[in-house]
Amino acid sequence: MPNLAILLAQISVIVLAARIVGWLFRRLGQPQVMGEMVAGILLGPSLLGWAVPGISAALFPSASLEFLNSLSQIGLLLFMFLVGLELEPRILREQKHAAVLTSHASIIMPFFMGTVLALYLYPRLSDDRVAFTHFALFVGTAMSITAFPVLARILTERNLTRSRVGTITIACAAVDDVTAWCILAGVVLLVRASSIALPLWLTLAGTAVYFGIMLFGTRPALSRLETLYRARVAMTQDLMAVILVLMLASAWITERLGIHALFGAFLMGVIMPKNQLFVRAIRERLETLTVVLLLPLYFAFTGLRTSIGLLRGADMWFYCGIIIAVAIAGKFGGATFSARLSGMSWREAGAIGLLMNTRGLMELVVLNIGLDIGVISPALFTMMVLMALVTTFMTTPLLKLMYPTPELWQEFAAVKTARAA
Amino acid sequence: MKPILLYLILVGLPILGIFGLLRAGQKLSAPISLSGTWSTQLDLESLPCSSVRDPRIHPGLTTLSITQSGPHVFLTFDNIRKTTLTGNVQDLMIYASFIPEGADQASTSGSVPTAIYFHGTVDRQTAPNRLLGVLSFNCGPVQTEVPLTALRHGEGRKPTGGH
Repeated sequence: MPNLAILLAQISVIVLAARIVGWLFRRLGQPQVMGEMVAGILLGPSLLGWAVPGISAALFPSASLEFLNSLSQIGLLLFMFLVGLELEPRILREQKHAAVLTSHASIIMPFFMGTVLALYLYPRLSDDRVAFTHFALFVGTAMSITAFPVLARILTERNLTRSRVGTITIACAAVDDVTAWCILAGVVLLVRASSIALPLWLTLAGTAVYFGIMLFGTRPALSRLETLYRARVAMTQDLMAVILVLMLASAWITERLGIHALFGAFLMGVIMPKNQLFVRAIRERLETLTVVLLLPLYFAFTGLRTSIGLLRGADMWFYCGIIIAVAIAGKFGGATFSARLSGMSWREAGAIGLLMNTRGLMELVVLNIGLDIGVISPALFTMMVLMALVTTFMTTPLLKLMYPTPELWQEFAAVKTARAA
Repeated sequence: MKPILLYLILVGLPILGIFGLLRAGQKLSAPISLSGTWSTQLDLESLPCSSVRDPRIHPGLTTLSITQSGPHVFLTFDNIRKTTLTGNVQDLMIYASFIPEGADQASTSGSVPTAIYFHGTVDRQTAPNRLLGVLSFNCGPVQTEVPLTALRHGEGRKPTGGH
């Protein structure tokens, strides 16, 4: 039974810290979520636990963390559902020619470089309970991630959503998201194969059946929800309850199948009807509570597992530096190069590479899964959290350099003229 | 034709490369696994140093938590105050130590901070969940050794042999 007083104190401190640091980062021109991620790390052993261990131990006793984790996982399920909900197949169809090469190359190149890096890191940061194949596949996946929600927010803040760069990047990020989550599901399945009760063939068959039912059974049936919504012209509480239960049921099934609950929540969001009013109504009901209250708990939980103190010695910081360099070279380089070869200018291609390099929250989700299933060590987890922070932090200032406002308006004018012609 | 060629170069070749790298990596070996929670029995009552004979030390059954990242290990005993030994794995041997400031001063008064050393081993093949070793408490010139046998909680995954 959780201690309610401690839990309330934890939530209050976490939400307050997330808002304050988020506000500070907004003042620095960074997205709010970047500050919230940093706030989580400041509340962990890297700062609070190191500076005032007594207060840290009183506020976050280890026995209380399980409940905090459960709450944060519910928040994450809701968030992943919202991410899936906002994915629009229409965008992918419109931009498919330009997006296919760029998005696939921007997944494969960092994945390849991550696998090369795994050869170097495996003897140095892993142990003999982790098979090299699992380790390499996981490092590759972690390198390939793009933070679709953070990216969308940066594009909106920079007024880039209407530009060619914006539309192609959104399409690429959407393809990246779906592909990376599928790869991760496969990796989780492989790693968990030895520990879950179901035999591997049954898990694979169950997963195939689940996808089939979701795409060809549930998806058409969900259009009735939209019809109901239109008939009542409001998102009623009953309708909302049905949507939430469906999302939780889908998450439960994927968790039981061994491919993690997050995939179920994400897929349910992806197959939801994409009527704009319907999507907005669901988002308005869920987003504030999820983003303001529950997601900061996830950041804090991640921060409590991130210990910069584990990076003792020059060698550990050297590995960290290599991880950051490879992550940037793979994602930024891969996306920029392929976008350029697809016929975009160097500036546009660079902006796409920069945006695709944003990892943000999605990277934290992947890393936490890796730590949970034991495929990465705590020190590697910390290094990759730092990599996620660096790659997210660098996006906005470099994008401002690459796309100063006058050039942006010139591009809008050019697009407008081209459309008119 | 050009887009297909580009796709093959930028996507197809790296995919082949990934398979090659995964094969190449099978030959690598990683350090022996130690991470997890271990149960151990420690007799600390005979220790000469007052700093070790602390009311917060509970002789008998204790828990040893090991955090590992490659060869780097952090050992934390739940009955020796808030003390973490840091060390390394070298082949099958584990070496770790906790050396507080002033531990090197030669004094038998008992007020000298206690340095703690550990060395031990795990049999990778026959008993990967059994840790055998010795804890040495250095209090000035006085040194006391305590044998340690620890069992890992839960079977966990079988070691892959580094492959």
